[in-house]
Amino acid sequence: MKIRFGNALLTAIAAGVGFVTLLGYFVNAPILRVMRQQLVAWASLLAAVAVIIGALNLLQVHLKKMTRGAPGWFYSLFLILSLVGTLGVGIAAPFVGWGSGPTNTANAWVFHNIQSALGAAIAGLLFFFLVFAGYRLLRRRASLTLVVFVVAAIISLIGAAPLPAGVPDFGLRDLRLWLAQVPAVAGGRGLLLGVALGVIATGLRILLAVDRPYGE
Amino acid sequence: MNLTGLGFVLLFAGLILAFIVLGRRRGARPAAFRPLEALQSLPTTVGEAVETGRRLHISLGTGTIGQTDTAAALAGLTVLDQISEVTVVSDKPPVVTASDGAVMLLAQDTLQHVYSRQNAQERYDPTSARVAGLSPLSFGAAVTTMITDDSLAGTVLVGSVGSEAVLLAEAGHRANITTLAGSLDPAAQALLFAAADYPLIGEDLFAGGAYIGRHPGHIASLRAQDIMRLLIGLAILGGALLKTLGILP
Repeated sequence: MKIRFGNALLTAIAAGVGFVTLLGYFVNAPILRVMRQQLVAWASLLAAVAVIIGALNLLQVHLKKMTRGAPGWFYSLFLILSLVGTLGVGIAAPFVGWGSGPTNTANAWVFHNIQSALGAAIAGLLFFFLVFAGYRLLRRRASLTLVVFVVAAIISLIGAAPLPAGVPDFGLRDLRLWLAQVPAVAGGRGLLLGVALGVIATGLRILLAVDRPYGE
Repeated sequence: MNLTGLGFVLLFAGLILAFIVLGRRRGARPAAFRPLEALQSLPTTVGEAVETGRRLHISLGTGTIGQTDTAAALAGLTVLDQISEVTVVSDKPPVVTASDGAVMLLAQDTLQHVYSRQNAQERYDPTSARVAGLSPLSFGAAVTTMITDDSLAGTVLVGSVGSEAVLLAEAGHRANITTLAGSLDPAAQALLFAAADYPLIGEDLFAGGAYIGRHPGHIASLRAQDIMRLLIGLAILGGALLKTLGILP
């Protein structure tokens, strides 16, 4: 098998950096701690540059969509105008007395009056989508998992709903509490354990150069 | 020095290496997987995309590189590598969405290498991998529009994603396309169980490499995960027993 020098070098750098960072967590040696902190700081710097690249990519994709007149190009126009507008007021803010930095008055206004409001509107839609998804779920082919899921969801909904005074809850509130505190916690911990093992295995595969999400 | 943590990691790494070596032995038994509807349905979805000349949408979620959700993004990149190997030869190559610039760059790199392996570098379009939105809700809103506007054959979401995953699954349903989705977040997993056609639950998210590509390293990794899970389970049971008997304080 032919191994290219460039790829071998990339693998060695990635594995070396990974091992030093990992050892820095487990071994209490000052040199390892300093190296780990320095490597993490470099990674944060690269991540910040990646945000700018991401924004440029977003602009490129939507400019292309708009110039081609692809379906939904009108939304792309709004996106580009919003991006340029937000960037523009952010840059102009210190010169017109709106303060400086990411928390200047202009940015704060855009965040509170546009971004937060739109975010809340989208989050509000999630409830309706979930109701539709729940309805479709009932129409799927029945299985034991599906029945357990639907019954638990119904008990949780009824158990959490406010009842008029004097109306008995038939023990549904206690049942909901038990469901949330015993089987749901146990299941959640089981899922998290599996996910954690998957996360560690993914990291170790990269450290051992079994996976190389860089180079060939 | 945290010897327990270091020992755990070394044991895990040792098991992965041991299973890789054992898997390469002549006469080694092929790995048997438990049925996993979501990942087993993937070749059908990919095949439909190629045959109908429509794009497959692969989403890497809102995970970032360098944070706790990095592994989910990397699991998504593994699935991207294996799916795009088949779909880049079609008229409409896959479209990849992410929420982080670094993940988008890794996705572009993955696609570029797949095109290179297929000797079709001239067909590679860097905008095939794109940042859909920089925040979770803007990502959800942008992907929703993309699913309904573009002619897609299906959506495969493997990455870290929160409640906005419901937007994506619902858009897939309205566009009448298959949605296969998994997330790191248990709450999002519950939502996807209800909303997606094929939900990935728990560590299923990390099994793509072994199920789709039968990659020896990924199969070894799954086997090591099973052993570690068993050991942790036994440790929990043993600890509970010792505590009950009053041996442990």
